[in-house]
Amino acid sequence: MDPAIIVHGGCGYITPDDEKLLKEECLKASVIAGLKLMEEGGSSLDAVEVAVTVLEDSPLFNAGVGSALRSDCSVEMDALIMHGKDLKVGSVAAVKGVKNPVKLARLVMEKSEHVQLCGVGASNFSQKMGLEKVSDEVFKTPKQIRSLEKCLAIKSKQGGCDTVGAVAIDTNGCIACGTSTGGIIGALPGRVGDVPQIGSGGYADNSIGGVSTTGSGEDIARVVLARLILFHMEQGHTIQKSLEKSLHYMKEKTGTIIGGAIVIDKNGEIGMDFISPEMSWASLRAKIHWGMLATAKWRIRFLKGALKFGESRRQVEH
Amino acid sequence: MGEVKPTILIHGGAWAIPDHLVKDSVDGVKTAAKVGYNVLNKENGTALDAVEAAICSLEDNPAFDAGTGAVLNAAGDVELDAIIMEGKELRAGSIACVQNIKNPVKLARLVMEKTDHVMLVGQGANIFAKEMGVPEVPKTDLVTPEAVKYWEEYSKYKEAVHDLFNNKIKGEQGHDTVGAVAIDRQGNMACATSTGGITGKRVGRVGDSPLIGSGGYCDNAVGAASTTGHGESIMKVILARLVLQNIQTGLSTQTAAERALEYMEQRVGGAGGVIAINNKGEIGKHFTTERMPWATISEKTLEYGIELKDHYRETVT
Repeated sequence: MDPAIIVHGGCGYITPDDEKLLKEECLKASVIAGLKLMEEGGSSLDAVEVAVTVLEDSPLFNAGVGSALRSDCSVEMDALIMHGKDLKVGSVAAVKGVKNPVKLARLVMEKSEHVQLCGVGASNFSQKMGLEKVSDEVFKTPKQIRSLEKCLAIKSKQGGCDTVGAVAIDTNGCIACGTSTGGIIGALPGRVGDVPQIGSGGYADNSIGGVSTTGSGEDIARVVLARLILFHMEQGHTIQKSLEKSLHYMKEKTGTIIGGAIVIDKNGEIGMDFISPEMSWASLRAKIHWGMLATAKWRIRFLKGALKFGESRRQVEH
Repeated sequence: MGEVKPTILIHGGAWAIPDHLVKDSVDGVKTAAKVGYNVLNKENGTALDAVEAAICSLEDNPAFDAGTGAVLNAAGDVELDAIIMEGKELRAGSIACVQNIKNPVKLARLVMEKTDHVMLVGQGANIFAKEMGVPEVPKTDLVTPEAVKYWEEYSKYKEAVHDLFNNKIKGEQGHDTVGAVAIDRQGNMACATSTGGITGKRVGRVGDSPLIGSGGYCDNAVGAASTTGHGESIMKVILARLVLQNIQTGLSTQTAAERALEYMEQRVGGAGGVIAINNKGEIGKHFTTERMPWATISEKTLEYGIELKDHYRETVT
């Protein structure tokens, strides 16, 4: 099996022009880091962890540094990591003071008897595991402070649904997924969305495939979106059809148009789709593909050995 | 949809329930079923109100690991999880690791109805409770001598905690999460699950109960399910959602529940129990642990049991 990886930087947030290129470069760096690890013999689990870490370390995305601020100006983060072989999974919810929640999620999976830790318990475990404790100030970037002020001023949540995520398949055909987020701007402290809800923010099963989702967290959780996509694939639908059916089902039942997902199936086929105006993503196997915007009818078809998509997309835009 | 008979189905946790707890467990689920059914039977009785009432009855009953009677975490504290979900619009509310709240299922319902969110955890959940005027009760109100006994045994054998958790897979430690599923006269469905978790769990541990699709799931187009057993295993297979998926592929509710538990055992080595109801009001219940107290009422008949072979019947007035 040729290793492959796909990542997303979230949907529902219209990236300002001056950030577009920076985001694309960061997403490309993320898949390159993940694939390199697998080519050197690393597992898909290692690859998703490193890929998500690259995105968590960038202030451009709503995860790790750059996380959205809660209504009380604090930072609480959620993350999930899952391995498709034995369905091993680890997650953290509403954790504070951890620079890379996806790393902590992996430690929950590998160093505890549990699948999920939240709040103070999660932070305590993080310190016990030797992860650096980081103050809230590190997370309070000027961009996020401005976003919270704007959100509180108009008394509405602005979304800011740019959760980050990754799905990878390694040379052994093992699939892993990872998702990480700071939540929605102005959310109540203690609010947990879809990310750490197994099957909503992500899911991985070697016998079907792996998924990471992004969008309106509450609505994703209500339809258990990642698992829903895989249910359709189990019934023989293509990745693309499974994504379309699931995202449109979510829109029909909950009314949201903020949603997207990335997928790799058990044969190594890659797919992604979104019903929001934008979802930034990048994928890498032999060639690197990346994109951000969607037009009404436009969908990506993934072909083995296809053209370098990003370049042709720019030609279409201009 | 007018043909549906209002029905409620309750479980009181799947585990190796010792003989001395059998009577209290069976009485408890029977009472909860009656409480829930009384709500369903009212002219405007809803499945959502019915499951909430039934779960409150179980939370208030010290025989079960939910609300009063919840087991203690590694620090000797009580941390509670609960979920409630309705099937018409897939609205859900859940709370995890909340402390000193008598009825977590009521708080979960407030999350569903009074916030834009589906889940609140930890201190944030307690702050919300205060804002909603939900009173905090002292920990001592919730802690029973049985819970303390289990915790002392756990503390004594802390070195072997890994074995204790492995044994939990076989249901040898308390897993008496409680749950309810119901369908009302309008054909609307609801589910709810509530728990104190497992003895000696790490502070902040979240199990399956409050996670949508794991501890419970509900969709008027398919059915409703509530789960119990080894939480970590349930989360890995998203058990409640899996039961509904099995129903969607055409299986009877009973077979759907059995197949889902078989899969969980085979794929991740976990044991547990499931109660479910489809949108025609047909129930299913199954468990792979030694015992699971359950009770159901439809029309004027109460059925209940605790061993796999049990099927007792009574008429209710």
